[in-house]
Amino acid sequence: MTTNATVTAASGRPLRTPKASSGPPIELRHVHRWFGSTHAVNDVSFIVEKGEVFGYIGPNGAGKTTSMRILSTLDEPSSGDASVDGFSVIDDPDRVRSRLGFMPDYFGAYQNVNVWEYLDFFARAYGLRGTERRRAIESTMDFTGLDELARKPIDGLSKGMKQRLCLGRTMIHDPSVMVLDEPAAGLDPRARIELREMISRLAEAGKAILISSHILTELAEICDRVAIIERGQLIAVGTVDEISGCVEEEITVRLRVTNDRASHDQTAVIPWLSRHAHVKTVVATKEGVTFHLVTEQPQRDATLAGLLAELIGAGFGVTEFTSRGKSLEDVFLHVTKGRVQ
Amino acid sequence: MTTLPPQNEMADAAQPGRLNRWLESAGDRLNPILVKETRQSLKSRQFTLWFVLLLIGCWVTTIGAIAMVGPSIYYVSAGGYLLYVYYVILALPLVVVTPFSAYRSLSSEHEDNTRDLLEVSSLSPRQVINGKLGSALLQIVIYLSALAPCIAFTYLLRGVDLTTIGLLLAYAVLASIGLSAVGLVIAAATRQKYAQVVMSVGFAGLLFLAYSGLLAAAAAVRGWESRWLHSEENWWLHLALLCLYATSFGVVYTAAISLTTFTAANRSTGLRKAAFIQQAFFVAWIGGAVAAGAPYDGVFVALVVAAVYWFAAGALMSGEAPLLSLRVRRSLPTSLLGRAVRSWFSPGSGSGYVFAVCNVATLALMVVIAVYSTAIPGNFAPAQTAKATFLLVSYFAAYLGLGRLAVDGLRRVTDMSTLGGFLIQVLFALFGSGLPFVIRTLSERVRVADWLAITASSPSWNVPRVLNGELPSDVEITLLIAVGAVAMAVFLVNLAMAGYEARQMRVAIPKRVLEDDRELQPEPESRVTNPWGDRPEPATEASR
Repeated sequence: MTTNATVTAASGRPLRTPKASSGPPIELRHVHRWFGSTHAVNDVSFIVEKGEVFGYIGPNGAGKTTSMRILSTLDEPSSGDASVDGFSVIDDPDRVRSRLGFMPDYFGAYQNVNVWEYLDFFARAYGLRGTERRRAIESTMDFTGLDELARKPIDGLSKGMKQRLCLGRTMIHDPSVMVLDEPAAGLDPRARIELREMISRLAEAGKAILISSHILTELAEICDRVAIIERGQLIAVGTVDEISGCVEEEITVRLRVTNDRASHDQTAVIPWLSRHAHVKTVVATKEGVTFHLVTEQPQRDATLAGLLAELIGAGFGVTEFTSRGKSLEDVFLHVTKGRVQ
Repeated sequence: MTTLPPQNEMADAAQPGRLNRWLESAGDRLNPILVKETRQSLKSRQFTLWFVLLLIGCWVTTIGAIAMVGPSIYYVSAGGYLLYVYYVILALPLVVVTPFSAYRSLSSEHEDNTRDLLEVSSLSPRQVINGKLGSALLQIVIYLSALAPCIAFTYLLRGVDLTTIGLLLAYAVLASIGLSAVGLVIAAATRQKYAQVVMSVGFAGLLFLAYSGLLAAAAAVRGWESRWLHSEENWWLHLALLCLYATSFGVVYTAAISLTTFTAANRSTGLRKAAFIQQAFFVAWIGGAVAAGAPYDGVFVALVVAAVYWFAAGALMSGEAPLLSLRVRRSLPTSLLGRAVRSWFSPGSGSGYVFAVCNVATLALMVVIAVYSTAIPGNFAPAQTAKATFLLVSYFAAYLGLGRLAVDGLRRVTDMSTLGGFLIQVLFALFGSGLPFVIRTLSERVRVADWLAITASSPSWNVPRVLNGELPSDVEITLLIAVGAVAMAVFLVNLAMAGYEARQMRVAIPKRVLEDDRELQPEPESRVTNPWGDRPEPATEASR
């Protein structure tokens, strides 16, 4: 693995800096896509800023891949437009392509080609010449950890190594925008962590990254913002906290108290909590007491602090008081109403 | 103390570095697809297998031939026969394997999901097609060089001259390149799997037909009967064939590029220009033939061929969408002359119709000039030839125009591709043309010839009869007036609709694109403008 310095100049060139008038790196404006009578993408609009990792979540068939293909100039919207660095994907796809790296959810292998030859071909295809091309290939192989497999035929690579090679191919021309469709699909936990690290470093290098994945916990960790799409329509856009804040009505709290006084031990705290106006579903577990605190999002912190103060005031020796909000998976299931398409 | 190596040793050490740099710089200029496919081919079993089979075939043939001829090799002229056997071996990889490899190379990009990766790269459609054709050409060169010693051997055996060897090899190479280009067009046009399977079988069949045809042609060229082909006086025949090949190749090559170009770009102008150049050569050759006193019958046959060609091309062009994309509108001509001349080369359904009709009308004019200028009488009366010409052009304008109107109407209610529009127009023309023949086949009681209402729609029924003067004069006049009037009306309606396309104005290039162009090609540093070395002030944003 290399340092971040390698990332910032994968091909040895300075990173492409968008002009002031160029607009955001990624912008979708009222994009619609019809396939016959199926409305695959329905009025989707969002913006991804420079250096931002933007997660794109949705059930199967929700329209994620279609939107990503439109953005990558592989499909055309039925109406609306999308732009990359200010260039329309309909009118200037050639300019979009030189600025965009697309990693589809399939590998796209050539027969009888080794890792180095594969990257060399795509470097040539993106117009890199001579020393610039050599440096780009070396940096990419170094970044993706493929340098020791340079002469290995790509047919013989493991799934994880193929994904690394795909990412290398996507970044070989140092694009300012990267579109990654299910990059972590089928990877083992270690490979996932490594991929996540690589994506974070690419974002740190100033690239705008649009990423879709089914593994929501991973997206929650690396994404600055997420969009949830269902049946072709965007139903929520924002940071994970913003979205979960909108949907949260109750939070889970875990409590542990000391058992040194019988009148104020764990068994005594359960009826005390059950009488509280904001508390419901109090359950005793081996690790303490778990209960749900019902409160509106703006007053959540104040209610929690108040409850803790009341507990201490009532004489309970509180050793642990932990609140847990909804995870991205909970939010996703809540927003999409748990429907599977 | 360090000792410097002698000067000449240093020069020797620098030599490989310089050579490497030169080779690397040359390699950078090579087409990326060509580089990749060459690497793949050198490792592929298929190429190795064919190359080894070719060599084994040549060795077996050589040893067998020498064993059969025996000591008489010194006085028997066996070169011609042996050359033909080598040709049979060589033509198989050239005419069948190489074009099919080119076809598979592009169609497998769909199957292996690498087509998308190529599309999102910075490779232009022209680079992709050039790379695939370059790879085919490289294979041809390798196969030819493998067989070169054997071919030289046949010349030493006598019985065959250098012209014949050159002609045969040229035919094979040109056929191989041309068929490879056709394969690329087919691969680019078929994206669905089932269509690819059907086209694979169809193309393989076409290649074997071409192989048989080439061998038949080679046998004829080698024979005594075709000695006129080698005559220096008949150079024009080879030139005409070469012209036909080159212009057809141009059309096929441009079609392959158009089919791989993204939809919002201009996919049509290049193809129209290639077809127009072919038409120009065709007209020039016909004009030359008329000037040389050729009978006008041949010119009329040329018109019929051109009418079929332009009907197919016109059906494809007039099946295009009438609205131009913003990308295309950026490059529309702005001057009056430019709009008058270049509008017909711009994409669009109406402009395509007018373009096709104008091209056929040009050839019709050539026929009329030929009829009234040539001194050699033809098989048909001059007046009848002129009438048949008028009728054919009228049918052409009417069918193509009505088909275009039908497609335009259908487009208002449903989505339709260019291929769909093409098929509707062709089926419509075939139906109208075949109607009297179908009725005559189905019912013996109806005397089709007596019913002008039944036969009027059919060019294939009426044009030959007018040409031979078989129709009664009143029927002939009625037919000419009726078909002419319908054609004129249809042409005027279509012309008016084409006028709408021509009125679409050029749109400004987006600011972001101009910025990008300036970034990619910075303005050159201003030059000294006077003997004192002053340079003009750089233009500011405000002054621009």
